[in-house]
Amino acid sequence: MSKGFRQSQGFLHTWSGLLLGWILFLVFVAGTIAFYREGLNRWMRPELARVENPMRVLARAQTYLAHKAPHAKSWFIPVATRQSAGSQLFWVPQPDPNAPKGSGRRGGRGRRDTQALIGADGKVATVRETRGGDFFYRLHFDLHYMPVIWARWLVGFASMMMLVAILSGVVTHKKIFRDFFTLRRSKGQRSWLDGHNAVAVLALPFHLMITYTGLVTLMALLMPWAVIANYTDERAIGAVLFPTMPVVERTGRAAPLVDLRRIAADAERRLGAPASSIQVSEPGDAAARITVSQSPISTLNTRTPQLGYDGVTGRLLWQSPPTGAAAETAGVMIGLHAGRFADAGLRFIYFLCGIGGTLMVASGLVLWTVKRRERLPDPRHPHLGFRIVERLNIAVIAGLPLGIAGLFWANRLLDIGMRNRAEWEIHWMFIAWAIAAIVALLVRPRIAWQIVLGLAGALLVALPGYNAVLTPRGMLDAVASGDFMLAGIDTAMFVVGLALLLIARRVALHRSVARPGRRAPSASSAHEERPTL
Amino acid sequence: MSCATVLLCICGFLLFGLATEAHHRRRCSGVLSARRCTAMRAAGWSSLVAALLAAVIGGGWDFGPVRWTGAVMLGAGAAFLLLNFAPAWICYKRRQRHWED
Repeated sequence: MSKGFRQSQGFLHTWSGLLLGWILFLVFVAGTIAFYREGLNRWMRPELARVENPMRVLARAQTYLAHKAPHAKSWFIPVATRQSAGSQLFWVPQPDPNAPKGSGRRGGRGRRDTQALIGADGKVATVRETRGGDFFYRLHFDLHYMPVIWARWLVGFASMMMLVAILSGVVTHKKIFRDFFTLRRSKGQRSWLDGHNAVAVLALPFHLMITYTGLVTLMALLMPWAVIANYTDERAIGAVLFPTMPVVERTGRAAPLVDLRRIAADAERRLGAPASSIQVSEPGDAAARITVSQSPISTLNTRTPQLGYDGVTGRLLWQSPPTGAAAETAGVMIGLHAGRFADAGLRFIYFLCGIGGTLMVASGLVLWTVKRRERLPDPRHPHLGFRIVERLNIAVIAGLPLGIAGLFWANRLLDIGMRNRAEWEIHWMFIAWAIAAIVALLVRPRIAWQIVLGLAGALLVALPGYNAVLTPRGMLDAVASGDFMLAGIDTAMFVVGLALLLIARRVALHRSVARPGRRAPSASSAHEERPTL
Repeated sequence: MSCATVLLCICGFLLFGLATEAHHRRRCSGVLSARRCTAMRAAGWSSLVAALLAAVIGGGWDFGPVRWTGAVMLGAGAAFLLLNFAPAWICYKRRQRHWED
């Protein structure tokens, strides 16, 4: 009975893991990188100096907006921190009553003319156009080149399969806890299995947490029925979940806006935590209102409290009401997922766990072929399914790192003044990835692994060198100025690149040395207890 | 991240690991008797509990458990790497050559 149950779980684990494994790999890689979203935002804009005095940036942002968009409907100013890439502010112009409906929305072409980046010195910074680390954040759940809704359904479905794969995996590899400390090296399938188990069990709390809370972030999309049953109006649920200060009509009487630094300081004193963003509605009008949001670095809950001020007198008018238990639970779960509260040490653990998850998915995908290769009737001509999985593994597991390396190099090399530069950086990621896929299709698998992994590794290893020589923020400069975030990103790229090169080398050696003698030991080990994967 | 939490977690998992047959034979002197195994595991659990206390004292009841979970994973990873990849001379055996041959 228990054998049957374990075997059925093994079947579930294999197929739920395989079919969506390639999407999960992408989601894991993008999510892992996105833990350093802010750092990458700065890394990908090497022109920007680090913000040393956030309040000065805020004051200059206010001066800039008062000059540039004095009659805007609203301003949105993120409060700069030492980690942020300056302050990326934007404003929404007064709605034009003659304009056709729907054209006043943010986004699209209009967005570019209503935003500015205030640098550390308080001036408008002219930097290369890039989406920075934010791209990886969106890629993590919105994918790319496809409607957002489809992408979220796909990622949501993949996460559910992930949850299935984790739970059935714990049952299938039931000895993982007892054998946890065992690693049998250079033993073919056993080593892959031990490695797969080790990265899975090591970060098991993380895997469970990240998958479950990931589903929570998409819950309103995946399971909308509770909301539909209780709220007929979408705005009503929005008002409950995200309360905002009552809207005030524009009076038309001009009145100077209070100094935002004073408001920020007052809000930080009342909240007992840093402010993350300031929104001003109807600036320059007697009815101006200011909303300050608390930074999520100080609390597990991502839905942080807000304070509302009168924009002329600076008096506190409104405090966001405490949210209900369900909203609080969801907020905490999303907070755990995104790790915005994490300090440097905990963030690094998040990153390591993310790498563990990536390796878990990758080793699981490879294991599918390793396990079946031994049993192929004719290893020289494997059946179609086997070949598809084998080639897709190369295209995704080795190809995605190559694509990301391509993105980072495009960020450095594309002409600064190029049109649609930010989009082209991303196109280059997919071009490099497509090249990897073509190589994976055309070249024999062993050679393809080496070419793609080797190329990705070489590109990543070379990046810190390029930075050190040709940008003002290379590793040495970053360390000298105490900017360990940038130095850490350079180091991480170097280490990951080196690891990819070592794997490529390992593949090369494996082919020449281990192949001929491989069938004998694997045949004998086949009589030992075989894991029911 | 509290250093004490991480160190206690590493200690805990090293004890768990050394309480297994294979690693005990490689790195400890003497036989792994049932009593010794139980004692090492108990010590391992105690240091994990101590780590939780340290984390909660450092970060309160909201951040403490999160940091502790992170430290547990880090400790398990560090112990795994140490036990499997640390050179053989890091051990508590007095005469290891004698045993290996």
